[in-house]
Parts: sequence; C-alpha cells; structure tokens
Amino acid sequence: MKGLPALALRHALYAKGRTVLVLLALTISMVVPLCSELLMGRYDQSMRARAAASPLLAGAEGSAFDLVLETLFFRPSDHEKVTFEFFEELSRAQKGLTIPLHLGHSMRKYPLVGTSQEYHEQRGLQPAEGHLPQLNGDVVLGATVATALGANLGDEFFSDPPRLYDLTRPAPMRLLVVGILAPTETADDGAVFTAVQTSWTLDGYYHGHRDAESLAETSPELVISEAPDRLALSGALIEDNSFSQEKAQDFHLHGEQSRLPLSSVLIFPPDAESRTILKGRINGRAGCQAVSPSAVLDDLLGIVFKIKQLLDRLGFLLSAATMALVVLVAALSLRLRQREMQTMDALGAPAGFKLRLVGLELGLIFVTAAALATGLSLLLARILPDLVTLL
Amino acid sequence: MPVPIAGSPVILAKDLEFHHQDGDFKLQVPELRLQAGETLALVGPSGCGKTTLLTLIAGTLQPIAGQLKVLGQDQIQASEAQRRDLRLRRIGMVFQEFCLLDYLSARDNVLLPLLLANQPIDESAKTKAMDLLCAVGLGSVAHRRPAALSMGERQRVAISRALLMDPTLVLADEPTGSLDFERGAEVLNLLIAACAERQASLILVTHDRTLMTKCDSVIDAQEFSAQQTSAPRDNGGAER
Repeated sequence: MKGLPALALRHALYAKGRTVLVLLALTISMVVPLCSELLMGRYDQSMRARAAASPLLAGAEGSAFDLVLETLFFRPSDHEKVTFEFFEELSRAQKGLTIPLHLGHSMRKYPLVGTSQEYHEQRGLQPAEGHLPQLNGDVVLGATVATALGANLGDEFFSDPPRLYDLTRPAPMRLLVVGILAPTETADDGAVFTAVQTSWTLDGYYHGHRDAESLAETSPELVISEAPDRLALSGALIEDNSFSQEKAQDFHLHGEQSRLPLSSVLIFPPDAESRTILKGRINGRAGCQAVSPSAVLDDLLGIVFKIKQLLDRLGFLLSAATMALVVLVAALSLRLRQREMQTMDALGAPAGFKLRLVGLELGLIFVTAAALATGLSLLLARILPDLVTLL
Repeated sequence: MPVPIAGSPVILAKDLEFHHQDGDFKLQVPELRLQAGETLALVGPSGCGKTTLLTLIAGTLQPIAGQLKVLGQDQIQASEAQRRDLRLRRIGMVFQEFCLLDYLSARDNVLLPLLLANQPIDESAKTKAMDLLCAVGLGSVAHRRPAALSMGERQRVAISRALLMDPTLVLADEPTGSLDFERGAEVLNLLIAACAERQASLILVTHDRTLMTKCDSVIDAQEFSAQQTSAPRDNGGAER
C-alpha cells in the first residue's frame, strides 16, 4: 500500500474510538433515507403491480382501504361480509370472470385464503410441487410459508383456533398440504390457499359426523328428539376434525349455501365498458361497493408518501447533524495531531500532505459507512415486515 | 534534484541574515561551509540561534538576505516544494523530542520518509528498515509503538529514520537533550558512526560542550561573525 492510504488507515485503526463514533454516525445518517427509499420503492412497485392485476373488486360497504388491503394483501380486517348469493348474481351478470374470496382464518399464523381455481389461474400461481386443492381440506402453501414451516407434500397442519376460549366456535381442522406454489414475490407467497368450502367448514357452516341414524343406533344417549323425518342430536356429539376421503361425504350444511359469507369478489371484466356497467350496478345496490384497487391504492400511497417525506426531512436533519459532528471531529483531530503534522513538515512532507491525509482518512471512513449503510439497508428492506401489515 | 559538484561544499552560506517579523532576535552568518563527510558541532546557549540556523539549512525557514546553498540547491531561489523534496529525500533529520508517530510501530516510523514520499512500501524497504533498527540494537522491538519504548530506544528509532533515505546530510537538533549522559553518549556515538559509514555530513546542535570533541569542527552560534572556531578531533586529527 502506498504512503498516504497506509498512514490514513493506520491512524484510523489506532484511533478506534473516534473512528467507530464517526463510522456509526455516518452509517445511521445514511441508513434512514436509504432504507426508506428502498422500502417505499419496493412497496410502491409491488402494491401498484398487485392493484393493476386486480381491475375490479366488490364487497360489503365500508372502508375501501380495508376491502382492498384484505383482498389483495390478506391483511386481517373486520370488514363486513357479502353472501355467496351476491357472488352468484355477479357471475350470472356475465360481465367478466368472478372469483370468490373468503378470508379470516389462518394456519400457523399465515392467512388462509378460501377461493376458487380461477384465482390461481388469474394470478399465474403454479404449483412447484403437487397440485391445487381438489378436495375439502386440501391446502396449497405459498412459497414463503412452505419455507418457513419446512412443509412438504402430505404434511398436515391444524388451522388456528379463531378464539381460544370460545367454545361455540368449531374446533381447528386438520388440513392436508397437497401443493406448494412457486415463488411470485407477491402477497401470495405468504398465504395458504384452500377451497371456499373448506373456509366455510372452518366457520362451522359445513361440518361432518357419522350418519345420524347409525349414531342413534350405536349411541342412543346422543339422541335428543326423534321424529319420522327428523333426528335431533346432542351437542355432545364430537364432530370430525379432519377431511379424509372416507369422511368427505359426511360433510354437509344445514341451510342454504347462497347465504354463506364471502369477504369479497374479484372481478375481471373483459373490457372497460363491462367494468363501468358492473361497477355502477354494484354501487347502486344497498350494502355493497365496487372499487378499482388502483384508485384506492393511489389514495393510500399518497398518505404513505407523506410519511416518507417526513422521514426524508428527518434524514436530512440527521445528515446535517452528522456532518457537523464529522467537521468537529476533523477539526479536533487536526488540533490533536498538530505535533504529528509539524513532524511531517519538518521531515519534508509535500505541501498539502496533511490535509490530504486527514481527508483520505475521513474518506475511508465515509466509504466504509456507505458500504455498511447500503448492506444494512438492503438487509433491513428484506427483513422488515411488509408495509401492508403495518397500515 | 540538484547534485553538488564534486569537491564543492555540502553547505555554503554567505552573509546569511534572518529575523522573525515580530521579534528582536536576528541571526547573521557571514560564512559557513561544510564539506562532504564532515561533522560540525553547533554550540551555544539557548536562544542564540542554533535551531534557527538548522531550520534555515533544512529549508523550513527562509533567510531574508544572503546566499545559502545546500547540496547544490539554492535554498533562497528554490520553491517550497523543492525545499521540502530536498529535505525529505537527501537530508536526515533528528530531533530532541524524537518526533515519532504514536500510531506507527518502530519499523513503520523508520519507514515514515518513504510513506511521506507516497512511495509503496515493498519488501526491500521493509528489510532496509529492519537492518537499520538491527544496527542500533532494536531489531527485537521493531513491532512496538513508541509508547512501549524507552527514551533511548525512541531516539535510536529516530536516528534509523533519519538514515533510511541514505542522506548526504544529517541535521541533528540536540539529539541527546532528552537522554541521560550515558544514553546520550551512546546515541551520539551511534549517530556519528552511522554518518561516517555513509560518508554523510553531520551538523549537531548541542549545548553540551563535551560533545564537541567528537566532531571535526565546532561553531559557537553566539559568534556568528564568520569565525569557525577549531576543536581537536576525537581521533586526534588536525584542527580546522
């Protein structure tokens, strides 16, 4: 190594405390704006891309933000539900492909999305292993979920209990992994997909148990009342908590499917005209709304970017304070090193050598801080939680 | 880089004048000559201008009048860059306070002139620095920083540093001033021997008159009236 860099490096290593202080201050002042830029850029891109791939969204009245975030990013929400009948009406209107979505359940804390095969086709979700759900109780895992759980085909997981101490809610059900999706770098990677009927089973609308008449014969104590066309069984009856092929026939619904709940309906109209007609028709109905996710996210990102502006100003102040600190340290360093500088002069160091030495030393620290800040920002941008979950 | 003509003096000063702008002190040197390989003791009480004369020769200060040629370079006409270059590459400097850099090891302190010249430190340079340290008995402590060395060891490191560039002229400003008598004599003998070995001229600033016997000639800085007082050579040589 040549003289100037060698001397600068040796002094930086010798004055460890000062070097670390300046390095930390510079790194932090760079990480804040870099990180916010990276995160915002990433979220902006991914959110807009997702919204653009979802032309129209129908759901219950209420916050359009909640409806969009719940449907597109599976963010938990207390948004009102629509009925399956609403979905059937939209399908009958023949103004484009309609996809039902049922959200609210989870498996190992990952959102469980009840939907149809068409969802996977529209989103381009291909199983890297296995196949899409075919039977009640089948699930396919997003790539991130599969990696995090270390799951393989054929593994079984229980759904999360909705409320731990609520005895009226159905017990968790055993779910079978039949597929693992290829990574897509979207919210789908962090979700578990199943059929809508499975979600309704987790709601408790569908349930399975042995045939009532055979139960009456083998366990007469479970029979509360008996009529020629009706058999009432006790609540002590233990319902099935798994969906084996043998039991699949046992799952049934006491009521009308058309009244069962859905979180929202994704609609893919063939053209702008169909979209406009459908949107107007839905918004004309009481208790419903149709929104364009892109427009809703534009509003939402407007708010998010105001926060970014605030962060940018904070970063600027931090940078100004850090630069003041660096200048102070440089000035004090020059004063403390006065004797050393005099020695260099006396020995015949070229004019400007001292300033170049101090400048190079600070430059080395600055470059190291920049490299650290870049690495740290990239790491943080990867490990920080999805912004959508924080909204 | 100026090269002195063979036989011409290493230092030639005539009617040299210097004074600080804000002080009463004035230095006047009617004539000063130093031949190649000659050792000169510059003696006198504190404040008589010994160090000032040394810094004029080194080119750190500029005279206000007269003539000053050092190693063939006219120090009055030369630019600051030329004077610095001459000092760095051809003049070895030894100071009373050693002036070692705290953050460098003894070996790297010896290599400092090369670092200041922004030259790469290759294996041959490292070997040369180690040889110089070994010659003054510091081979085993070459990795230590100055804080871990004794005063005598520090000055020996400083002498090694002064010799790294194979200087033609060595300027030593009270090199034994911070050392006890025994260590001082030891260091001085080392310095004179090293200069003699390299045929380098030496100017030794001191107010220890016992040291003047070790030099070829002695100048009392109090009597800068172009009178070079003679002193007997250590080896009994002729007076000058």
